[in-house]
Amino acid sequence: MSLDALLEGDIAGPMASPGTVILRGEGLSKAFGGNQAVDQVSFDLRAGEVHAFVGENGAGKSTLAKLIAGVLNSDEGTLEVDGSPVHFPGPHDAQAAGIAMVHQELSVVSSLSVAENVLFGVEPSRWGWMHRQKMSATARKYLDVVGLHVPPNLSTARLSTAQRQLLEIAHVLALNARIIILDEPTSSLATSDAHHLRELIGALREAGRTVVLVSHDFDEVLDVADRVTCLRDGQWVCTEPAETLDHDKLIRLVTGRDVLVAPREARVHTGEAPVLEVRELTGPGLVHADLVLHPGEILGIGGLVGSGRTELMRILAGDVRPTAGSMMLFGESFAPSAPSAALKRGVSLVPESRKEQGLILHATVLQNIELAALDSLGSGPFFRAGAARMLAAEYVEKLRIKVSSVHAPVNSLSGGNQQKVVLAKVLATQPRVLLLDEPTKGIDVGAKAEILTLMRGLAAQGISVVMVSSVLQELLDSCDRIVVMRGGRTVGDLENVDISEEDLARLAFAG
Amino acid sequence: MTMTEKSELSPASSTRRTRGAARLSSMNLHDFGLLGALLLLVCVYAIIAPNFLTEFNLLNVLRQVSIVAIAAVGMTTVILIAGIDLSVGSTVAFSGTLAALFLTERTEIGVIAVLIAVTIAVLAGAGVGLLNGLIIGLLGVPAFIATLATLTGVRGFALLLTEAKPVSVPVGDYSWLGTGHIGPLPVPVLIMALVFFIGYVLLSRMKIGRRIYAVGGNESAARLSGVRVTRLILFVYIFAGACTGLAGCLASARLSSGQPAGFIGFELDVIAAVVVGGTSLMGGRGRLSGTFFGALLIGVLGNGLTLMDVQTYWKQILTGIVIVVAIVVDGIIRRRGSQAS
Ligand SMILES: Nc1ncnc2c1ncn2[C@@H]1O[C@H](COP(=O)(O)OP(=O)(O)OP(=O)(O)O)[C@@H](O)[C@H]1O
Ligand SMILES: [Mg+2]
Repeated sequence: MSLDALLEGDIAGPMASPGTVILRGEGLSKAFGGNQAVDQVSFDLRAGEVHAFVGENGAGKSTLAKLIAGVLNSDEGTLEVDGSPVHFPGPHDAQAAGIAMVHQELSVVSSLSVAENVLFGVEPSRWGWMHRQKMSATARKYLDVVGLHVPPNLSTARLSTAQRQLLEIAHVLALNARIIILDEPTSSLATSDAHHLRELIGALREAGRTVVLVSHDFDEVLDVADRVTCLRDGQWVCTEPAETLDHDKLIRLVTGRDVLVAPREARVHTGEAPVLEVRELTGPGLVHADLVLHPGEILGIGGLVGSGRTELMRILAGDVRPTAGSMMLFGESFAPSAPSAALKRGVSLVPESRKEQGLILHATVLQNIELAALDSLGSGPFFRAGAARMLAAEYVEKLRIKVSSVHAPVNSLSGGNQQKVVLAKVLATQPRVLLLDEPTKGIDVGAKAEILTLMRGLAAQGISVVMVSSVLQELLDSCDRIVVMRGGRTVGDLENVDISEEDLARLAFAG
Repeated sequence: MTMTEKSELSPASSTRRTRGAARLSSMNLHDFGLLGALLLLVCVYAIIAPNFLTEFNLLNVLRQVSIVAIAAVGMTTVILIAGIDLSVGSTVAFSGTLAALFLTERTEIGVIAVLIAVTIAVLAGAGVGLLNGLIIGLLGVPAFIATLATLTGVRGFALLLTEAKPVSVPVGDYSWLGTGHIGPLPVPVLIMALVFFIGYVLLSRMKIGRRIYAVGGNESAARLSGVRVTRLILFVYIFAGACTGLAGCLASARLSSGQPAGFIGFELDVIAAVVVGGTSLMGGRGRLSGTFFGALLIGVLGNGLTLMDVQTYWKQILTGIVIVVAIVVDGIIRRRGSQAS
């Protein structure tokens, strides 16, 4: 089933000829309390273009996207669709005008099946009853288009983060909108899926649809976007045709400075007594894993989504018990019964999904950061609030988390800053082995460089880091050594000297 | 103020400046609301209800409220971890009956005997709590169903103990627990103050309090952050059971008898106090001060109506309305709070 055939159906709203302005925002502003998230922004969207929004974490990209999609209402400013002013009280009204959005924070309904999620709101029905067979068949078409190969009747609760992301994209396709807003759709996708999505976006453009793409991945932006709008501190900075931009220009636009990360020094650690040694480890989703981690080493784990990377990390963090195999930590047997036991031994995990496993969303930044380090905050069973506040303030400063106060609820932070809170929580435990599962998800270029520098600083102090990333280039930039996983096995172990993205990809894919 | 200016402040100083404001705005608003409603109610009753604004009556309200409020301290911790305890009424009956059974044959009841009776009641409550905790934490049965089962089971056990007959206690030091005074203050009120103090220390001054809020907020995030969730669940239900046991002891002291068939539906009064007090049934959000004001509001409401000789049915209807209003107002405050922050 090709995309073209799928998109033949009636789309919501009239179709404009490519290049004409179909949506215009004038002087849009939105404040949360005293925090001006979007400040007098004007822009337009054209038919058949891919329009990228770029900017630092907290720059206001998601907020602007939500204003377009009717999820939020602007304090000031106007929206025009096809030249006439519109007002969207809610997302439904925007959908009726042909505007649909995939949110940065995923919102699939876990209790529904995959098919029900894809067709949520547009379920095929017969005499008012849901038409089950037709539903599966229709859903499957959209699933195929986005490359999510799971049975339509599977429970959504069983999907990984990346699969949920694809599911949401399938859902907006099913809504058949003419303006499709994708807020960081690739931040949790593997390289191959991300490439597939680029093709999909290209196909949507060919079909005359408009795609708004919010992304921190500049290669992706340069590859697919026709125009790029940059925001900084809620204000519009510029809108440029993509062909006039390059990677460095984008960095300068977004951060207002040149981000320089010193080139990685090749460091070889083999020969030193290992910190962590994993032998023939088996467990749920894991067939056979061998791993050696040295003091002060940054070890990357690459591979496709579902290749067992997250499962391995969860076993190391004590979240899941292995069924066989051995683990040694600092020369002693390591078999944590729960995350608390692993934490006590100095092994700390930044989990894959910040919303589900990382954060207590309605709680404050302080309450989140202090949680894992509670044992060190006060004597015996008693808690020292003052010490916790100092700790939180210290990490807010260290990681440059953009927040008005440590008492702000985490769900009022931008996505990237939420991710930094998870990182702060884990670093506050002063781990000896730091496990990072997609740690740079949703983080802007500047912050990525900061985190990379931070990781190197930790490694220089002798802390060992294991980092899972779906972005191969990121592994090559940061790691001393890279282990590749495929089908629940560790299949390659490469010193990061003279290897390329292709080498890693070949290992990850090879049958 | 733009974001840049904000982030240039050192976090420590901005923390200090906004702390007071943040606490006032989001955390205490509900308490203020409750306090306002309470004052309004007191003013109205002062005018229309005979004998309402007398020292005797006000202390009496506090005394009446104290038993519900003591159980509500435990219930607050349970609801904070997104649990529920429906077995409270049965546990009050069971623990009070056990204490009464211990005392009933004695001719003279001294301080030692009273202390032993209190201990028996508290341990009996803690035992039921342990059972609840095991069923929920170890077997993974949802709290609603687990405590529904113990509600029935414990009641049956209490009735079995005495063949459903009340057990009377000779008047003496034991009834002093329920009806006596120290200075001007009724004894149960003082015990309530002590229990609230313990609850406050637990939730706000101890590490376990932070963990209770965390488990209710997001259990898997809490687990990954090193919280031993099963242990915590056990602890919370045992603590709640102990509070309930103490409440049962005071109740039997006040009535000078153990009532194995009494206190049916008592858990709903307790849950109502907690919920009106602003603790979210979804877990992770709530305060003990709210629970106190919630219990007091419901208690004062009923007291005034009784003084005015209004039929008790009206009391039930009004209590229902108060619960709904409290939840709706709380929702509005919360939405405002999350927008403003
Ligand atoms: N519901 C909310 N309540 C309060 N403040 C909010 C809320 N949503 C966003 N903000 C604030 O508005 C600002 C812009 O946030 P926004 O989510 O639009 O950033 P973003 O550009 O999407 O960042 P990121 O790249 O991290 O996703 C941030 O300072 C954020 O803290
Ligand atoms: Mg965003």
